[in-house]
Amino acid sequence: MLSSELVIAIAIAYVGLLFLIAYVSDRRARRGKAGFLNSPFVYTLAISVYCTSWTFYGAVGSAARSGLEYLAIYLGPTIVFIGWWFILRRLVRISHNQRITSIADLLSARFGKSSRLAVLITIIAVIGIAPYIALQLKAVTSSIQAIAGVGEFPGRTLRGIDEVGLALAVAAGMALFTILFGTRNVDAKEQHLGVVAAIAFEAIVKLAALVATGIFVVYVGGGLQAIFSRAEAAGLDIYSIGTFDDRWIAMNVLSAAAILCLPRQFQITIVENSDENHLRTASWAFPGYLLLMSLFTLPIALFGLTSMPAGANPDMFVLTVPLASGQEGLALFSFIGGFSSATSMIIVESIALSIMVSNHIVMPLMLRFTQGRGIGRGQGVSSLLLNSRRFSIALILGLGFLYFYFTRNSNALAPIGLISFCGVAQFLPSIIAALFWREATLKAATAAVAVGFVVWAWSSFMPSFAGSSVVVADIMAHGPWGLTWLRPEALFGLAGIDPLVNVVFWSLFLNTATLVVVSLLTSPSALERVQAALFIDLFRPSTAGSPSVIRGSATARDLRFVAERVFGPARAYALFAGVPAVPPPQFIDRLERELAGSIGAASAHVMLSKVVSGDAISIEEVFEMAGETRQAIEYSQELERTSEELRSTAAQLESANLKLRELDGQKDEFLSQVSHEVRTPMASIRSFSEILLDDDLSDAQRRRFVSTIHQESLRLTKLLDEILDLSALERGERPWDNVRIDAEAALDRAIEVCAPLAQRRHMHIVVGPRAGSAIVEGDTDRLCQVLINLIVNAIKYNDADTPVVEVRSEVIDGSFVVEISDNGPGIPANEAQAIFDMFTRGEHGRSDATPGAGLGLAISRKIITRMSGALELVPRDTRGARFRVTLPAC
Amino acid sequence: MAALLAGRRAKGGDVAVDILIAEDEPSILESLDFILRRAGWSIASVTDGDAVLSTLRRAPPRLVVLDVMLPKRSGFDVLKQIRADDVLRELPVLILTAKGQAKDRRTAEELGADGFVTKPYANAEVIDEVRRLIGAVHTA
Amino acid sequence: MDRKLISAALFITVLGTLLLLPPLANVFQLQRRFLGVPAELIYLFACWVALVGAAFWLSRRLPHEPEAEPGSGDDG
Repeated sequence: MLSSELVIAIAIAYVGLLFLIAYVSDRRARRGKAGFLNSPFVYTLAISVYCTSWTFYGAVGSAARSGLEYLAIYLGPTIVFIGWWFILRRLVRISHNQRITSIADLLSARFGKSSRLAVLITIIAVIGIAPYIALQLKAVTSSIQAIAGVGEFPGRTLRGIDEVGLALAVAAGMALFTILFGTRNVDAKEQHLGVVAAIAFEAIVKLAALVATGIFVVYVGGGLQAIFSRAEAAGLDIYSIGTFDDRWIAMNVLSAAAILCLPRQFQITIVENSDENHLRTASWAFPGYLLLMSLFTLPIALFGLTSMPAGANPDMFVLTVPLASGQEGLALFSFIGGFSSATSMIIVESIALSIMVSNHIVMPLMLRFTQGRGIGRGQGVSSLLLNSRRFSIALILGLGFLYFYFTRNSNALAPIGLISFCGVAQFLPSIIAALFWREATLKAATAAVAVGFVVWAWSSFMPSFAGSSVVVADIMAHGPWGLTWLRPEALFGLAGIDPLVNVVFWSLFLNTATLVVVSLLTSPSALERVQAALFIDLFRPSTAGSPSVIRGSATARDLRFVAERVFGPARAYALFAGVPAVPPPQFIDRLERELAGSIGAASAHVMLSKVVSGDAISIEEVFEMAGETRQAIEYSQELERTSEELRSTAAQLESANLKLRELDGQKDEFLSQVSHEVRTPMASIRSFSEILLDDDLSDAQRRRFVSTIHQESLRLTKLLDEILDLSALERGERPWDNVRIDAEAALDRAIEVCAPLAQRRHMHIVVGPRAGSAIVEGDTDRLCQVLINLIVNAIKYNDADTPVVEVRSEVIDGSFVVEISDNGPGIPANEAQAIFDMFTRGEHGRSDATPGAGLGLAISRKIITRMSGALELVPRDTRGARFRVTLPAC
Repeated sequence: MAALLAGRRAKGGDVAVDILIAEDEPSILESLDFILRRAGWSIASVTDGDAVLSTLRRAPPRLVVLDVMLPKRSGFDVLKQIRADDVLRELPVLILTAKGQAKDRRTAEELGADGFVTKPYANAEVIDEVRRLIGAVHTA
Repeated sequence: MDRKLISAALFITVLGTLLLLPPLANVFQLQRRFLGVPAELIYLFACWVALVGAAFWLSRRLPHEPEAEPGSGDDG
């Protein structure tokens, strides 16, 4: 027999281990090395906080008493996770967008950031969870007793401490543990990586313990067939006849609701979610985890029923069966597994509830009490928040203990859990409406939750005290004041059905009916409408940022004052970096969201409204400006889309216009160039003609001027020829026959022709390596014309101090290639293509070049193309331009 | 006139002239040089934009005849520099252009040119403009 | 394709719900045993395994949507 001291010492050591895990994980996360802590599997394991002592101990008890029924508790959540795309994903997205901190915060945010609704939800959650906490206390107490061997004896005391005393000690220990664990700091978003890591660890421990016990039982029992056969022989109903009835449906509905509505599940699945894609993994991994947890439940129950003495508590079979076989080590492991499932539930549930209590009850009360004036004084909101959370945790465990105390005579674990499930399930209709029904209003949600709560309190919560209160027992039997139709377990005369079905049906039916009817009778406020749009049109673009609903003229100093009190100076400093003295509305909006992450949407809204405008904000006024109605929002989205289209059309027009103007400009530029090229020789001709008309000139002068006129006339003729040549090439006139010619000879001739010009400009044509001889198909004169043009350009445009023109040629890969390079100004990349165009030549008004007609390159390219070759400008790193002529060699 | 010329010696020792012609087309430069000399003015000439400014600073003439399409620095660019220069600001400038577009005339006026002549020009036209500008400076 | 997958996800969710509730679940109340295990137990776990498998399959194929930055556009 294990000693109780050893068991308790091991439990405390285990708690120490959890604390260490949480501490190390927190430190790693703080140093940005969260690593595997951010893995979807840690997330999934943390969600498995769903499996509490109820699962670990109670499911076996439930299976022993009611057969397959226990499975409904895990099939509901399985369905919710299989359909994660439709509800969970929305909840996660919304909560990320709006910095939701709890389920109360979610509903409050959706229904116009109402603090009243948040308070109602919080109160219901705290009361509704009390039985669940009591269940854990009871399970831990019973398990300590069972493993220390006192549970089955009439005295039921452990070294003089009775069950109640032990439960109180457990509650106090848990409260202390949770306070140390979960309220060390106030995070920007209520995420507790350390806690999550510890919970994930506990999830592994409890699964391993339960599976180990299950395998042991199957082994000891001689296999599944033997266990089932023995049970059948013992007269047990191994087929669970009549399992799939209305109670089965009710339990499935409750468990599906619970996985969404339980504060701890919301906390882990939605609030602690750091990456939406983790949900993707959890969608199959969490149902898989539930499956493994449930795999051995029935065999353990049946084996326990057939092998344990009559009257043994089936809730403790997981411990007592190994103990009965003398497997103390396994029993201890099982105990640790059960302890894990209880502690993880209590930690997360009380953290989640404490956040709700402090954000939705303590904070608003303080705001009301101080009229917003005291925010800056005293110790600051930050430590007040922490203290209110610590107090809340103590309160929650205290309530759990009270419930345990008053209901200690009832034995089974599972029915207690179902009471809590039914309590929080009252949030479900409002949550679904929040996500999908635009017309749902605040009044309707408040009334619906309240009605559901009253029905639950009457028909589910109150009956659990029947064992300890005569009054309750009387009401149960005869109804209040003799009104039998109000009997809690047969509401409205609906007798003869299972009490659970009774309460589930009536509470959810009246809840939903109230929600729908009141919604139809009332109309939402502007803020509700906006929030509804943000929740429902979640995946539509342009609704991601909520519109600014707080306006006014707060200074950055005032706002920062508030932020420092909530976040502490360091985070406030980071938040306010670069914010102007009078912050823009967007910043206030963002600040509200950040604050909402710490103190909830409603509190953040109230707090900021007070700071910003000093008076109640007129949301209506803001929305009159924005167009008031939901339709207006849709309309403005439509407008935005349309104006976006308009903008893009305008941009296209603009660019088309620009191109046209460019073309126009090019044509203009060409004409202007032609004009210049014609006018320049014309100027000389005219001027000298006028001079010649005068008599007093020497013969030498006269001859010289006439010669100038002659040269300028030739220049003019050449220009006109070029223009004609180009337009002929354009139209395909003046064809020539491509015949086999020696390209090298044409190049020689071109260099020869240009040499005098180079000399005049005091420069040298450097002839590099040459191909020697290359036969191509073409026309010698035309090729020569092109080469001359290129070399002349290289000379004329060269403004280098030591101008150099280099000509080289070679035959590569069956092509004859000539390259003509200079060290002049080169051609900018953006003009590289344009210079070959007929109507352009370089940048207009180019100051560093003697202008040519601007047609040479266009003509040259046309000629070379006609010879099946290519003329191109080769990009180069060094100064100057390099043109390359490539012709196919024969 | 000789006395006047003698009196206008610049720092660098170059003899300051009446007119500086900035033109890169040799034949046009020759024609301008001929007709303006024949009309009695002393002439210096440069063939690129950079040279205009350095010559002006060394020995400012009474007038610059400035072609727009100059190598290295366009005529408009030179004009801008002249108008921005404390010493040269008042110097009369006659713009000469072969493009003949209204746009060029507008640009010239905006930049503060004193006269504008389009190529091909009548010799008398150039002489009248120069006379108007240099005369105007004298009487002022 | 994405729309079809989302429809498939909805179908699997609804089908799973129907399979696990009466009247469909009652079809397997056979009061017989296979390999020593009652048929209804095998049925429920078989549905469960199939649903986990389907969820695994879906989770890898359902579209990945970029998460809208809550502060996008107004953080300037």
